[in-house]
Amino acid sequence: MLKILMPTIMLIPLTWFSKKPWLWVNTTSYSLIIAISSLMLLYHSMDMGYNFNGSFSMDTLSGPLLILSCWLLPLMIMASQNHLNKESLLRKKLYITLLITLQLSLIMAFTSSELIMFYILFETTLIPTLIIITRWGNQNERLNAGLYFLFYTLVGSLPLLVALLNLNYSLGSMHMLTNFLLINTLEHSTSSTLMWYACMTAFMVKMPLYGLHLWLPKAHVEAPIAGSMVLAAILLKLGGYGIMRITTFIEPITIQLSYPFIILSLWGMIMTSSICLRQTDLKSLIAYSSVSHMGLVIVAALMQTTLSFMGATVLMIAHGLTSSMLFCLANTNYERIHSRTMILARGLQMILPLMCTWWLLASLANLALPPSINLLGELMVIISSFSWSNWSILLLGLNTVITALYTLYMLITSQRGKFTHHLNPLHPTMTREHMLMTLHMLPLLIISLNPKYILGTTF
Amino acid sequence: MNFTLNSMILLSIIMLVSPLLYNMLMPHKTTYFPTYCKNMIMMAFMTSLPPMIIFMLYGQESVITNWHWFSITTFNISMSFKLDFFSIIFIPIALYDAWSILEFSLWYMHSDIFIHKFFKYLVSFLLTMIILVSANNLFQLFIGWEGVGIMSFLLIGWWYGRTDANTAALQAIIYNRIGDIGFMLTMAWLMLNSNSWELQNIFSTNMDFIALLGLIIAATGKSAQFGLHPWLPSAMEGPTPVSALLHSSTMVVAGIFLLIRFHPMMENNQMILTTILCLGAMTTLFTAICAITQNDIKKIVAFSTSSQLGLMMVTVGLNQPHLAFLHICTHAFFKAMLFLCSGSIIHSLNDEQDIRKMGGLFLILPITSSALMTGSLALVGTPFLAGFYSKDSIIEAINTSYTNSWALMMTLIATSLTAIYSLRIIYYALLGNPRFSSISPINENNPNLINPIMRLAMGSIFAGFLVTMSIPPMTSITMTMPDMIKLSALLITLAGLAIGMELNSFTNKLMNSMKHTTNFSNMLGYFTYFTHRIYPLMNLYSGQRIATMLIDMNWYEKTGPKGQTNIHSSMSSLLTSTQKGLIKVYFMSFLISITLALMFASMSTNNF
Amino acid sequence: MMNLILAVRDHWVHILVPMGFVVGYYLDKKSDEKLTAFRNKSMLFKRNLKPNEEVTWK
Repeated sequence: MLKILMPTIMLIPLTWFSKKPWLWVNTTSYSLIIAISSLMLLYHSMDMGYNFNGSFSMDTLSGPLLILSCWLLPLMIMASQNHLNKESLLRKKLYITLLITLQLSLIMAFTSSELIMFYILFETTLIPTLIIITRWGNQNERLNAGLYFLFYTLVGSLPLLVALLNLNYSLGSMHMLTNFLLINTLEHSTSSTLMWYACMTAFMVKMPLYGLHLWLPKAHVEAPIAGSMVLAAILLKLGGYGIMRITTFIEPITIQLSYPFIILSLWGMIMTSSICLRQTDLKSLIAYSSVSHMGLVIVAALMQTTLSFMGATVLMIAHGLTSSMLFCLANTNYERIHSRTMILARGLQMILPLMCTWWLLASLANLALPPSINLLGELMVIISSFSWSNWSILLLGLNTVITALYTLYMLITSQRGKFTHHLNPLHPTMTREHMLMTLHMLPLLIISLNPKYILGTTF
Repeated sequence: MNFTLNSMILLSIIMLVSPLLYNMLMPHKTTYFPTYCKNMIMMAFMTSLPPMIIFMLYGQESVITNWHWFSITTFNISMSFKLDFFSIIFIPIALYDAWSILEFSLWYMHSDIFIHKFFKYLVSFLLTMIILVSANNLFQLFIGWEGVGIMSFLLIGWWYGRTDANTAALQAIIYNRIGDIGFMLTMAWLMLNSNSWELQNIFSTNMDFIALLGLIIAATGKSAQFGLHPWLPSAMEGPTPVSALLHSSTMVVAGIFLLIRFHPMMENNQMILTTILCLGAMTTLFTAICAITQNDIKKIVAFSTSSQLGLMMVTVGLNQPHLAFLHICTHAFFKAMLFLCSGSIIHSLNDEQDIRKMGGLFLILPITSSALMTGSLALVGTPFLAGFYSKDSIIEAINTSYTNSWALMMTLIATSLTAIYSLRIIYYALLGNPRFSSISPINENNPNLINPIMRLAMGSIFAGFLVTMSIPPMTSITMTMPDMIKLSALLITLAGLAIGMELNSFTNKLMNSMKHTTNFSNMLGYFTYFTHRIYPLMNLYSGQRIATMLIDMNWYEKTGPKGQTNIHSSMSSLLTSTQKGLIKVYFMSFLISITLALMFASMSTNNF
Repeated sequence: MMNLILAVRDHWVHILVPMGFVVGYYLDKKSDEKLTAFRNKSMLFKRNLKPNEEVTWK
């Protein structure tokens, strides 16, 4: 694990000492090398988890997420090149440093084997993200978005700290891999209910659960591209990861207490998908679609069956790559048209045909076309919720229809139709952008060939 | 024998992949790419013939399992192909159709600059269709199922500058997705109850009503049965070769095919069979009624496809899946040909699709006209043409079975309506005087146009005979019956022809006596006017008003961040009012409070 | 010679990440050793090495 961590730390001096013309090349290539070397982690026989040292470990659940966060750094750096063009060198370096620190804290958050450690790193990720959003966002609303982002997450996670301290006191250890050795059952009482809520709220806000999601569209819309990418791809997944980790500590009352949350997120999926249908803002649409997809992950993570856990893991990875790619595509539009409004950029298939291919692929992945892993995840969630209650198929089925609807609505509005003439002075696409999309799409396709690696615990 | 069967089928599938890889291997030699695609499909067709012959001679069937995708505990998913009666017969037919249609597209799309992409789309569609029919695994079937859906989306929206084309594409995908809910339902049910998606394992379980209902919903979406039918006529916005390949002979029969695949599960479930029967009867009649007043030549053919799909559904509901499959096979030939003929007419009349503006074409487009007539006659079930063998048997099977007379009635009426709308195309497009503009680019000399039509015409004449002769009947058919029942199909068709002549003369004499009936038929039963307005409006309205404005922007904002802000700001402003540096007020408040405190203190000491 | 020095001055940053990798690898190896030593001390897992067996912490 330090094999990954130390080079990542060394990326920071690399950034600061690089000469101006080499800045982007150096950081991109070295972070890509680190990402590729992190793929080696897939080789470990991981079913029982792998201890790196006393406080860091990895298992089949955290492994794919860890690799995803390593994979995303070069992509973020590549995506940010254009919009940082006019900034001074110092600020560019600062920006890249922030991204690197974000990756550092994410790697450690996913590998930490202590819950308290996880909590600290979970909170650490807020700081660089907040700076990225509020400093490099495009409009004045970015300050408001930063406030929403910070306060929602903090208010949600402070109870978690209290609950964790209490758990630590009663259990004596918060080691995640050995927790099944600790005998701990919460009896049915008001205090255990409170305990459960305290443990869950932080992750529910982070996911976000429908009702606690207001910060997400704002943060996504206002953040610069790298911020949106990392938010959609990994930071949301911290929530799902956290739920799956912490539910083992607060057994067995999850079965009763999760009902309202499952229902709420099933309902929320429909609501957020319908919101997507009426969005005029491209980034906001993608953000709401993230909320809708994360609703599925919440349902799966609370269902607590083997199949649903697998579904949640697969969906997290699939959605991470897909939504990040969609944000990149939205950004390429934004950099050309300087507006996020969808009707201003229509008929782009005529002039940017290859970009249209990427749009098509990303949309198809987003609406879960077989045999992509998105479908695999959704299908697993649908199956496990079908076994939970037969009627849930109605809501989930409706959701798949609406998902297809808004995704294709997005595709058709931006790519099809007549080309509008105010778009005449449009930049052609750059190799960098195609590379970026390829690096998003390739993992999706390759994993689809062998989804075993991201199924989580398959025993 | 086994080796030949498996490897030949796989070989023909691999041949289909090769056009998709062509550009990667030879990116610059693209001049003859469309022809290459056509030839490759022809070769694939030739390659798929020996397996069919082997099957006919020896009844050889097999299952190929190649590649293990992944497994969850005891649940395995692997790539496997099922080569049984249905897939071995259907693959050559689909390839034969595709061969003709691709050759036709060489002529029809020759001026399109994206013709290469068009051919690639068609080939990849064909690939997904073959995956669909030969899948031995529900997941693989689903890959094909969704694949044909997406390819149909792309191909309907081929002319992406046109709003109508985009709308039609979106409409197709929405209706298909609604059907997919059913498919997912069945998948979920099977995963939970039989822990396998392999067909042979599924067939050993006992599926209940819910699971089979899922299949019916799926088939309803894909095969445009009543309720989810409006996408099929709208799909005519796509190029004509697309309509010929997807929306007549291959993709739309996928739903029926699914039900035929699963017929062992339904055989003993009367409830499901009756549902299918009634759904089919309703579809066949309703769409036949819609067909008789349409003026767009492609729309008429599309509705007639829908009607025939309903007839296939009826046959499945009668528990005669093999007969339904026979109808799929024969229908593929003449319906594809009817589309190609209308494509030829449309192209010759400079993109004119309205049959009122045609007329007299039998003199100037002789080959197209004769093919169109052959196709129409095959469609109405003229003895010894392709349609006769399947359609006549279906009507006989209905007449001699203990089915409900409502469904029987509907089907018979629909059969006679078939004659009416077929006659209508012939009457308006081919006969009479020309009503089109005199400078139309009419030309029928291109072999790329003539050959495919001729080839499919051969199919429409001989296919029924060949297929019925070489395949023994799988289910028992009633052999003896009264003359009237035996002849009923022919009689009602003749009656339909007579009525059709009468209706056509009504139109010519501007008889306006049946306004409401005409409107009902012409406006597609007002179905789309309700469903396409109310449901989207409801959904979009609730999305805007309830989900976005009421809940997100009001309740959640007001109770969440904005509410907190308000409470805090009002409280802090309340507190600020005491802290404005007014030294007199502070001293005053000190004075008052100290005085009061002293008073209370003195009072308490007094008591003490 | 001058060119070499210039090149080193311009591109010395490339040593940083590989250095990090080496250090990380070394530290990882050390912590593996430590964990294995800890494991080998436990009553549950300890055993004697077979004649030609290498260290167990790989």
